[in-house]
Amino acid sequence: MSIHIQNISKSFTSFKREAGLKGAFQSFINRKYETFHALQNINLDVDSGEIVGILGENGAGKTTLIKLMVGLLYPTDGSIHIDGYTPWKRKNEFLKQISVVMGQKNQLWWDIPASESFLLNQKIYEIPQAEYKKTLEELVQLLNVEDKLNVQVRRLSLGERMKMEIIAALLHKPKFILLDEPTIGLDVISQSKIREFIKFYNEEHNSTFLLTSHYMNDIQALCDRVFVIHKGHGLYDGNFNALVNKIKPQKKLIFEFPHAPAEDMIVSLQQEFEFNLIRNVVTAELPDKQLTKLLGSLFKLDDPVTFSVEELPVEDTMRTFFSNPEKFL
Amino acid sequence: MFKFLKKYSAVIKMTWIQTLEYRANLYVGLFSILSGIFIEYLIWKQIFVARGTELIRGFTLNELVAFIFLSMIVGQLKSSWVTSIEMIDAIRSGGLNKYLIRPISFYTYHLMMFIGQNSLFYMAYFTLIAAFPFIFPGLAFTTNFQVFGFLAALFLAVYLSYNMYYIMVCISFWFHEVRALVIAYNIANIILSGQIIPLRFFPEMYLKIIAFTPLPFLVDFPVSIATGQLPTDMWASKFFLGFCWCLITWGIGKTLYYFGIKQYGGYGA
Amino acid sequence: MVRRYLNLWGSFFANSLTRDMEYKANLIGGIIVDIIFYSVQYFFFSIIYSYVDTLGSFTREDVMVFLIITFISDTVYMFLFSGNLFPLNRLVVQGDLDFMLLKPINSQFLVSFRYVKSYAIFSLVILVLMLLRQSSLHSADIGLMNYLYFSISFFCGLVIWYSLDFLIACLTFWFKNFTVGGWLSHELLKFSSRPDSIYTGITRKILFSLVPMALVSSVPARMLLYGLNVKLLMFQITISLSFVIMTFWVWKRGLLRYESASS
Repeated sequence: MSIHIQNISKSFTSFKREAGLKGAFQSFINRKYETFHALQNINLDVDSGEIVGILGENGAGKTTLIKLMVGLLYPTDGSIHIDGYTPWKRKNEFLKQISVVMGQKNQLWWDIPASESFLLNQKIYEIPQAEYKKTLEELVQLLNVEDKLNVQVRRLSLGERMKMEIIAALLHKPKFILLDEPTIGLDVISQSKIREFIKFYNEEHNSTFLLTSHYMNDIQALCDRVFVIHKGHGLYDGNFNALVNKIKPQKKLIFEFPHAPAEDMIVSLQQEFEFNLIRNVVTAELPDKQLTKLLGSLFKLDDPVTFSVEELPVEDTMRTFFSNPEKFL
Repeated sequence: MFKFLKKYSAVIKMTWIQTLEYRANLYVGLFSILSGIFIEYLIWKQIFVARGTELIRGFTLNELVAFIFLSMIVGQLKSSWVTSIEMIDAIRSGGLNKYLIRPISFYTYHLMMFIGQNSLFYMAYFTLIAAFPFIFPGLAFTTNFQVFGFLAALFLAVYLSYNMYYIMVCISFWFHEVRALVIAYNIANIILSGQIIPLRFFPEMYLKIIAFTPLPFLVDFPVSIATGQLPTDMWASKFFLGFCWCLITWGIGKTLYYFGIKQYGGYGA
Repeated sequence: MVRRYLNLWGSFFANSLTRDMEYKANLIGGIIVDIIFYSVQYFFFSIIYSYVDTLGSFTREDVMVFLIITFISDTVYMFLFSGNLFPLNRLVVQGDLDFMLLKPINSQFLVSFRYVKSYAIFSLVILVLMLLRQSSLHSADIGLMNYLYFSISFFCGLVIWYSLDFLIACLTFWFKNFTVGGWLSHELLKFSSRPDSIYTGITRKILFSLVPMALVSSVPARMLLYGLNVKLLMFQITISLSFVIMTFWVWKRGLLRYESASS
């Protein structure tokens, strides 16, 4: 499914009140309202089969955007077309082609086995029996939960529960899938399993995915393209790695000499490059080109005992980015 | 003592803030009382007309309505079933731990919370009651003595009722579904303690039985004082008996808690 | 269409039953609460009728039938809706309504029927048997047709009660944290649990129209006891239809206002 978002804005009114008993009294008598602009003038086009990551801090407007796309919210202004459907009309044909997975919420019944909830979904989405069986088998196998189908959901581990949620969301073979923090709270292994699955499913079925996650590893592994929202505005739309390079083009170099190098050589090098020397170990964080040059110079001084060039952790990079996004773009 | 008051008055204050946010509760509570008394009035009016009498069991229609009106108010003020359900959930789900690791008593904390949550109701109903001498002149609160007697008896009723709920709460240390018991008791209490029909309208047999229970002290006692139905010379002995019931129920609650806490698994943590 | 939705309801019921079987204590507790509730109501009227022979047109034996009818409508309501309408506030506040709106079925249907209090079916069977017995003991001759009119009227009463309760629950869209919905509808329900003959004048007019609580149990009881009253039945059908239509409209308006909790 292709998505076409044009000039979308959404604002909320809420009542505000000051803390404490006095504030409570005041709002008891007279409530004050204020308007909050969650999204302003968002434009985004997504092609069929893409996986796009939506990035932004808490409260930036990610969830609002997702909810607008599936028709849970009515925009204040602008239009969204998803394969010709307007989401907030919530036509059944449209709803049958989409799915939402929210990491913090569950749609499965807590006290009964997941398989029973799946059956209910079969009825709700009117999935023919044969197709239902086939899809279920495939998903269960892929996610490796064959033996958990008949266990009450509340007895499942968080990771297993998430897998079940994903199965429930995919039974009707949606063409457009929104994942809101799908790996939240999961351990590293479960996280990477779910990532692998999403990647595989996307390639197999050519379905469109939109993904939000606090784990940059999720984004890096799954999304070539990201859309960054900051304070309700669209800030960046493009390749993720290009964004990372833009923020911090540096790589990290560690270079260990067999002996402490001559001081005058180091001093002259330090005029050209920025690096640290502790005993006989050089560490530096530099952009690609400079780093290569520095490396060449260091090799001229002496052969290293060891050396390494590493990418900076993307997690840290993005944290730097969100502390002041405007600066980098 | 001062410290004790300070600590628990903070609890009450906290619940005020909450209560003010849920002002709809007050409106519904008032609606409950007013619509309730209205329906009772319609029923009893028909009965008085059908019987063609001025008095039933010594009550005129107006006296009866005033009596039931007050009974409904007292009945609502004393019922701590919502708090009790929260307490049971705390025991069942491990939320009790919160109280065990802090210098605060489970029993007192929730008593204060119950009073705090009801404070808006107290204010509203006391305003209503203050208007009583004008709405029902001569039917209730004819002397200052009755006013203070009523307040003391109301205090006793609220405390006694809380103790009775507390006993049920403590039973949940041993049994799973005590919630149903609390709800069942609450429903039964509406009629059995005389909240919608005065106790003296009940069959003799029933009155004899409940004379051996704390039930008459929950609603009938304070309202009888306020309306002058209870002769002044009987106050002392009644108050003494009510006080004994408070002690007994308090003792039972404490004992159950003492043994129950040893049973307590600290689930959930 | 109708079959599809009946089928869906079957799934809801199966799911609920599976769950309720897990919690036997709940089930027993629920039945105990029901029994206490019925006894209290019975006790109330037995005291009232120890002082009087008839309340308006309702004699003592009429009121017994009436009482059982109020119990039945209470239980059917519990069975179908009580698990759904009270929690609507929570669904809205926590934003869990989202999932329901994303399903390709009528959202009002899903919200109203999702959870079935399956154990109420036990009380229901007992109460229906009691009604049959009580009405066969009744001195008036209650024929088969009376049962038919009663059933229609009872169904309309149920629809009215559902609609009113649904409308109240929907207030949560306008007042955030509207936790008193359940209590408020319980207080309104009080009016239906007393025979309509006690209401006179303006009150009577209101309870037959704006807040038609008299139509929930009293009118069905009249159909059963005193036979068909065409005008009353037509009136009841009109009222229930208009209330249902109102729920459709309010639900739509409510959804427009709906903003998920975690915006």
